[in-house]
Amino acid sequence: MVVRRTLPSAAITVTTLASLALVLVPLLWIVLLSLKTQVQAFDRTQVLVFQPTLDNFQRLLADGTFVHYLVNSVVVAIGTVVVSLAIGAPAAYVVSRSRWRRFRDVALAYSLFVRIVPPTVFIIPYFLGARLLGVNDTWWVLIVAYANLNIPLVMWSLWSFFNDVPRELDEAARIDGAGPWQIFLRVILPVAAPGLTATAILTFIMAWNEFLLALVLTSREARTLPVAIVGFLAYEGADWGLVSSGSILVMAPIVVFTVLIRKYLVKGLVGGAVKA
Amino acid sequence: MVAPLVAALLLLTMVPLAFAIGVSFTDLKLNRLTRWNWAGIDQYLRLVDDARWWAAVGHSLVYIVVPTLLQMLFGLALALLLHAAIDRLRWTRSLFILPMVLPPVVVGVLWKAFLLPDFGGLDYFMSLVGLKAPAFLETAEGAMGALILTLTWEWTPFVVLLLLAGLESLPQDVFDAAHVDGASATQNLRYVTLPMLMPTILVVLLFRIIESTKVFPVIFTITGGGPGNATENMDFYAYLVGFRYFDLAYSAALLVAILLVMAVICAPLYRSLVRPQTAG
Repeated sequence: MVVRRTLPSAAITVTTLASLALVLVPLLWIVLLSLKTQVQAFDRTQVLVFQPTLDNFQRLLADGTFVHYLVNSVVVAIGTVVVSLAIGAPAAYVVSRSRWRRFRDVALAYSLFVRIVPPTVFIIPYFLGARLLGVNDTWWVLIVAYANLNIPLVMWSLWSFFNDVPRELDEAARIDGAGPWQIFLRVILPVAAPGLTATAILTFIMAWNEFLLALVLTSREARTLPVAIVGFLAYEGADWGLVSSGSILVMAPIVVFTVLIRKYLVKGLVGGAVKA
Repeated sequence: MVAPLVAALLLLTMVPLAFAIGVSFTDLKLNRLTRWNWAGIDQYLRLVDDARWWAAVGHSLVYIVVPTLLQMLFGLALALLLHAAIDRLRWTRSLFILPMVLPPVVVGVLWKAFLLPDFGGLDYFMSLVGLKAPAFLETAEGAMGALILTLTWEWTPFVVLLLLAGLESLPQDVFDAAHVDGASATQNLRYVTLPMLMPTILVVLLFRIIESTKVFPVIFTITGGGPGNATENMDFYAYLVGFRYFDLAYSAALLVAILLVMAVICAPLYRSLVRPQTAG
């Protein structure tokens, strides 16, 4: 509406599409790269027009370790979602229903504080703790470490969804004799299901994408895909075929999920801090 | 219901944090974990004279200020553009926000592949119009530029997404009134849209500042902190100290320092911006 009165709509459409093209060019480049042989990748006469091959993807999947890391990534991401929601969802509910302003303030400050703490701060305690307990390089240590980073995000996100659920529902259930956990599980969660799904997917994306903690806390057994991709990059002579095809496979599920939850993304990311 | 939750949060977050602070007062090394002594504030004293640390602080400030400003500028422009675009173009929104949800490692790899000389796309597309691509990855300034470019690409979508939501929630009647009063488009933008959007802009800014320290994967994949130490930020240096030079105690001290710096930057922003809006 603001720009619309100055520019005719054709100019806006062209500018929008041109900006989109600019944004997508680097992505397109890596897609092309994944379909080229190592020779084609370096050949300036075969940049946009070339004989595409699925060779890289075949090499990637034929190598058992990539599939092993793929399984790790899936298990760790799902585990993180389960643990983060199991703790974060009831916590968000308690905060959203609290009449005690001070408690809400503390909870809000806490969840923002964990966000401010650089994740690097947690690598030393989690690394030493995992060694002490003998769970280094396992799914468990990553799931717990990721839950720690994601619970504040879950709280932040779900609490604005819970705020939208009318309190009269709680009241009605309480009069019928339900306890707080029963109210939460049987009444509130079903109503907040879309928000819960969006938050779960967002948490999945966070865990799936995480690199730093995975780099330090895993070595061979529990290594996840982002670390594996960096492995292909090695310091000399990167295998660009594997780097690019691996990148495509890692981002594919994320792209699908994003399209699914785009409507809820704003609330999921910053909660009630921005009115959407 | 509250007690077990508080216990879980303390165990996951506060205990590890206290442990990290404790480690910063020892001389713990990664390669001799069983023999260590309390070292008082020795690690913090080392930090004062560590030129590489202060260089990293400087680079961190660059990452906090420059990409954040660029993201806000491009983000606002794109949000206004998408808001004005016809409904038939709504499908483009999912594509515009794509960069921010990609794994940061992939973002790094992607841009490295795009910027590498004689191999990357930038080189190629610029040569088509007879230009030569800047030497992004070889010089200190170029490497920093490559990171700024990458971070701007990665996080502008965040600003677009939130400002677009903010724009769509503005009441329409104010614009109609301004139109009736004969306000021009620029006047409308300057005196109506921007002031009304300002609370959202400030919240987005706070989030971008907080997240601007979390650039480890991008630095790791594109420059590895180099050439030399030219693109190392505070986190990256702390990581190297702890896990490449095995000096866990000093690394912990650096991390505590980072936390303090971030708290000092974010506390006033938080108090004035976020709380008034979410307290309700």
